[in-house]
Amino acid sequence: MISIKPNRAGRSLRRSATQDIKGRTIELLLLLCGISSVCAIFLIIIFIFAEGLPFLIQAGPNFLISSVWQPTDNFADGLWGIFPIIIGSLLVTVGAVAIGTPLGVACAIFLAEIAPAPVRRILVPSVNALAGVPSVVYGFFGLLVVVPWIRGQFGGFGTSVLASWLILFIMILPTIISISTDSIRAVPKEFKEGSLAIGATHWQTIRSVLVPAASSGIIASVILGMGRAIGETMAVLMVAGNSITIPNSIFAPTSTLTAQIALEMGYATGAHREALFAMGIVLFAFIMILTGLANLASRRRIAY
Amino acid sequence: MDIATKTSVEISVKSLNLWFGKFQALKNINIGIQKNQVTALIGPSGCGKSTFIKTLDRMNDLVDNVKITGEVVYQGRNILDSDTDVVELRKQIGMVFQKPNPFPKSIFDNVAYGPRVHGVRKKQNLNEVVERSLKAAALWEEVKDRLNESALRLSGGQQQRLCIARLLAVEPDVLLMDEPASALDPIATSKIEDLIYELKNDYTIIIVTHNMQQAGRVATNTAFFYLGELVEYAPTIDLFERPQDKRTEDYVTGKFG
Amino acid sequence: MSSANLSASQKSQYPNLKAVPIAVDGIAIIVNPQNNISNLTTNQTRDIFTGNITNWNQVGGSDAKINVVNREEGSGTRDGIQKIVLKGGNFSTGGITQSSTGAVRSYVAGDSNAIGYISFAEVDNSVKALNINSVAPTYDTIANGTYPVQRYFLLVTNGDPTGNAKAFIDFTLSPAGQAILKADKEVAISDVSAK
Repeated sequence: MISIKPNRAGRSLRRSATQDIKGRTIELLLLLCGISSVCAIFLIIIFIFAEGLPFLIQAGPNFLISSVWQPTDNFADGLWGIFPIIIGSLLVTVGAVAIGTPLGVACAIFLAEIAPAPVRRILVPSVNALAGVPSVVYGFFGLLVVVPWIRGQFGGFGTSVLASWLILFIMILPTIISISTDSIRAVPKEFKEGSLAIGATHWQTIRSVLVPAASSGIIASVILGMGRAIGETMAVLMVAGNSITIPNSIFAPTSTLTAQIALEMGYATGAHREALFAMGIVLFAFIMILTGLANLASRRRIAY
Repeated sequence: MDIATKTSVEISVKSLNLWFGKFQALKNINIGIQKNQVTALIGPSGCGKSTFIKTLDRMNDLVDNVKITGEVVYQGRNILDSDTDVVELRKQIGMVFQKPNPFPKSIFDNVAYGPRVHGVRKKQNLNEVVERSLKAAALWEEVKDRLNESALRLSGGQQQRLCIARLLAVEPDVLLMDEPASALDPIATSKIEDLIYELKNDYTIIIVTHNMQQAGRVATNTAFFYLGELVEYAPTIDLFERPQDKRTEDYVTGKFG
Repeated sequence: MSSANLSASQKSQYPNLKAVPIAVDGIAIIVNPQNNISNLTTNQTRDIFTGNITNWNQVGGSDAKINVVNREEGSGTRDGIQKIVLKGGNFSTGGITQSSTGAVRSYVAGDSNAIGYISFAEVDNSVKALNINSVAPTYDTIANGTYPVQRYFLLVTNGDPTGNAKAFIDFTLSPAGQAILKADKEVAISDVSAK
């Protein structure tokens, strides 16, 4: 009979020193990676605040609530109101998310629950490819197709709130779709079986069990989509019209914080440059507030 | 002895064959399930007993690549026919699963789920159904003061009884139970068994179990499945004490399993 | 290189900046080729960009809203228009802003009611450059100063140019360098009448 007992000669239960060092080194390296990414974020924040905060203090609340933007390179000669830009940013983001969320979630439900495997095999890579398209390409498409179409249909400039919505919602769809699809598919199949086994239809099961059970993932996808929408610069710059006025209709041009910063940063000097950094601080604050609100919403949903 | 002739038959299965792709999981099953009795399905893992009860409420529809032949006659029609209203069928033949699967909702909403999807809207009616179902599932006393708590906070045994209550709330005629106590501790298991014993007065129950003592305790009739075949089907006491087939004998005496 | 004159604050912040003019660039006021307007006065142009004139019929065109296309704050071309045409006045906020010459040109090429401004050197068939005060923007009218909307292109150094910077400036001002600028429709500094 062959012995299956291992040969333990020369082995000890004591940990070896080299093993210890190896383990510690790997832990240390991972820690360093973590610290460096956190450092990078903090350095950026510190830089933006160092550049923009003095201006923000000098300009005071007027910066946020007044509406005339005539930057100059010294503070006294300029007019520094970014209220219309804040409104533009919020309007563009909220609209794009409002269009993108139902469509994205519907698409995710289709991909996760309804689409037969061959359809899914085509659609999933297509959605992922959509996420890989550079934003300037979306912007160019918007400028050449969407903007003239809006101008032809509704008059005005064409570059508008609507154009920004149409481009941005397409850009945030892949984020919403892929994360929502994953979270719906991650719902334990027992929930689905439990629902079907008491005579619920497939649709009732989706609506009453699967989507609620996946809601934290779906909300997370919307948060990320919103982050992309508010942070998107290039595509919006190309289709929004960058007009610093509060739009009186969805066909009127508008401007966003990111687009305005990108637009003017190239030539800005002195107070003008500081004002753009102050805009960055405002943008930063908005992203923190929106993310905080969305997180709150998701925490309330997953209380069960 | 032929059980089918003794009392009224609720579900009659004739020449049932089932394939997953090329693998034949059920081979020529013929069985009559008696009304208002507990029927236990026993057999080693992979013998086809779970597959068999999933056929009875068409839950195998969810699996890709399944082919089924034969008949499952319930209420005078072959429910395997493609024009069967599966949703209505599952209202009448409900299933409880091996692992308790309450929804991530409140206790109340779990039980009210079925009535709600079937169109009951009035709060008063829902309250009545929930209370009645929880009482029938012997859970009411334990949860009546915390109906709005998450069902996921209940213990495993309570969760399983909640799932039974959820099923009872849609007023089925037949309860299919796929190893309902296998994930539970002995005390929770005995509660479930007591419950099953109570429920058989009003329902036809088919229970899949690994546990032969359990079959002995709760089932009137027991069917022994082996390698996709129905080897033997008899009153429980006969099957355990006077098995007709060598394979049944080996299994019930613990020679394999 | 700069297409805008150095500002007071730039000069005070960097007192050693030296600017050498290397060419003169006309700024063309452009409209869509379908627009039947081909001439504007300086005052009409100013009123369009400040928002006092908002319909093409106010300057003899068809009844259509004027879609003004601006460059962004800080752009030399915008700065030129503001100084020369608006005489320091402010642009109306009713227009849109595009971030580059190409973007302005392609917008105007696509919108029959648009008006914008780009470097004369960048005008092509997709847009129509307007006469200003009945003077068409051409090499000669820019050189002799009769076309009013023009600005210098400057090379800027910190302190007197030395080394490679000096060699580059010398080359740019040499006949060979100026010929390259001329080929690009910029007016050579040597052709400019005394201003």
